[in-house]
Amino acid sequence: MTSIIWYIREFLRPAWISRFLTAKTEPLVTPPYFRDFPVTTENECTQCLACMMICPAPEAIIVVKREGVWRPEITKGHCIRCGLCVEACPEDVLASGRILATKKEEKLLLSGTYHISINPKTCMGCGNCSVVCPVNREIDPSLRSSGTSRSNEVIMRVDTGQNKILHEEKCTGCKTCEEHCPNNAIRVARVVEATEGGKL
Amino acid sequence: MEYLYEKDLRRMKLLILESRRHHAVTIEIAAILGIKPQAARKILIEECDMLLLENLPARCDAARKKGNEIEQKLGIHMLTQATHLISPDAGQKAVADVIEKIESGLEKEIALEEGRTGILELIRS
Amino acid sequence: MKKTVDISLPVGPVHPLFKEPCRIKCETRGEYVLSAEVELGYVKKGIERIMRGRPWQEVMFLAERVCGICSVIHNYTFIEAVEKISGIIPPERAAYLRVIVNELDRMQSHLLANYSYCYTIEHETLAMYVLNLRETVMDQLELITGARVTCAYIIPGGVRWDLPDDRAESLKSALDHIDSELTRFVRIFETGPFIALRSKGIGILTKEAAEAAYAVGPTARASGISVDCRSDHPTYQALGFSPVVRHEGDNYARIMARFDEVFQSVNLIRSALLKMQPGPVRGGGVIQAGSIQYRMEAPRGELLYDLVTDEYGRILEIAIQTPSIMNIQVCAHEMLTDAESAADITSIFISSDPCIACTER
Repeated sequence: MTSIIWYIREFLRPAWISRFLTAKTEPLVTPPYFRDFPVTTENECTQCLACMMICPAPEAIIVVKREGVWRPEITKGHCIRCGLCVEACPEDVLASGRILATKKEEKLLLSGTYHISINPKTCMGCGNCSVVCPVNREIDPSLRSSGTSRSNEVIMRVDTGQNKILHEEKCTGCKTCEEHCPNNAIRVARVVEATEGGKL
Repeated sequence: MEYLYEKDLRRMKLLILESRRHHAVTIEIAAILGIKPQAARKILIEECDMLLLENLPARCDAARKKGNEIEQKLGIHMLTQATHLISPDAGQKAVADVIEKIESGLEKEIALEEGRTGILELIRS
Repeated sequence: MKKTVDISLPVGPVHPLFKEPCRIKCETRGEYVLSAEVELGYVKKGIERIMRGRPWQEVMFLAERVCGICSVIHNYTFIEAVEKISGIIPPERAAYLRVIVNELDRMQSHLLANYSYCYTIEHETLAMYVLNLRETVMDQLELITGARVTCAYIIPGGVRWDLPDDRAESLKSALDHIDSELTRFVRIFETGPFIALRSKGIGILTKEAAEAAYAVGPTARASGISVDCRSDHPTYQALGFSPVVRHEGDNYARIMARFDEVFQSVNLIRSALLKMQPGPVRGGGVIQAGSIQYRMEAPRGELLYDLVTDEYGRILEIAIQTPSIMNIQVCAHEMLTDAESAADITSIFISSDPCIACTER
């Protein structure tokens, strides 16, 4: 009995009656703060590849040259909409939801360092990694033609049958060496630190 | 209780026992029984059903700290409560036997060793 | 010992009442359930294997995708575990923001579980009311983090971004709305005679059985075990947290325990908003080598991350122990055995809030 009275009281609430009489489904709109797929802004991409280095999903973002201009491109099927690339981009080329505005306001920063580790047991000194490394080829153009390098400025170089790392700090974390190693002996670690307020 | 299965589940059970947490528990049970981990794994696969095996690390967490010193050394709660390898009554009887042997003057280590062999025979029978 | 079995009754793997696929095999005599066995393995993802060899910024997103319903807690636990390894202490404001997002996630998970139960006992009106209320919570989550599920809000050394005052105000008004609406719904649930018929005294889990099987979360707390990992967490201790415990141990107690926890979460968020002082939300810090076993309270109970990292913060080994498997096991072996009616199988199973995606990972 009490429950019947309870139900009658439920239905006699003015809020319920007015809602019942003016029932209307609100149109579905995506709120402006929704963290959607990143879109490019007007700013110029400097091809630093910070977005590609931070991206957790494989091949979700690539920086490509189209009609002479470098632009980041998103593959929608791969992107997981995490928004890390928007935070990592130093030139504010990408935008998604509210992230770009918040990043400027709070001075959010994602900074990365890269470390190379080589397993001496599986490295057979073939030198694929040294030849394929884009930074190496930039530093020592002779790598392109001869495949050997005498320069001491390169990131890594095969020396006495073993790959030796000379300048780890020059690594940009692209993992090209990892992809071309036949033995999976070389690994690149991307160490990321999240800070705010401009301090490093 | 006997559960009716539709197929041979030994391979799936082995896959469960290969995970990191289950591996640690298998080694622990092997140490309690004084046998090799492989033999302990065989006993677990034969005696436990799939759900019990999946839940083994958590059940062992609950059972590990229980009981007095002798019970913990024999791991009796791990065998009765967590894995259902022996019945609670049989477990209590094994503990009582060991305590009796110690009180009658037998050295503690030897008594525990004998208790362990008794429990292992109980499981294998 | 073989029992006389009339029929082996399969429920699932595809069943309109289940949120996720799993199969319950019940051995019945007439309507009476003699024993039950749950068969899993329909949504295995192998996420722990994918996580190996990856740094935090990739594993964080994989951890969230272990479970779609309670994604924030997986993110939270993983990040706090690697923070404990490296000795990073997040700023105070970030710690409170983490609690706010986590409690919002717990509220939506509990409301979804209770929706699911009401739907199972065919009280669809209340089910839809509760599901509608869940949308309010989801909107607040989206307002704070930018996404409804898989929020990716918590990172080592803090959170992704701050909560400005205007959004805090909107959160407060939403909490008031949830509080008043949910009071009404709980009243409906408490006083409904048909709900009581389907819930009270059904699927009883005794305290002893719950302790032996290591039941966790609301399932254990409804059986009189006061276990909650949040009581050991420093931020929750600062907010004066104490677990909700009920003693009946039946379906009704489990659902009511969840409703009570939603009210508790509302109060926790309110006090966190009051205690929060303006300040930084990111402290920085790099993940280092180490190993840890870290426990936190997920909506369904205790969640354990057991992980090893190398010197550059990559995950070498990881094992996740999710709460659902404990609850599913105790549900199949204790609660479902001796159920009076085959119609109660689904309602008992749903009342323990099983999350199959968590269980299989």
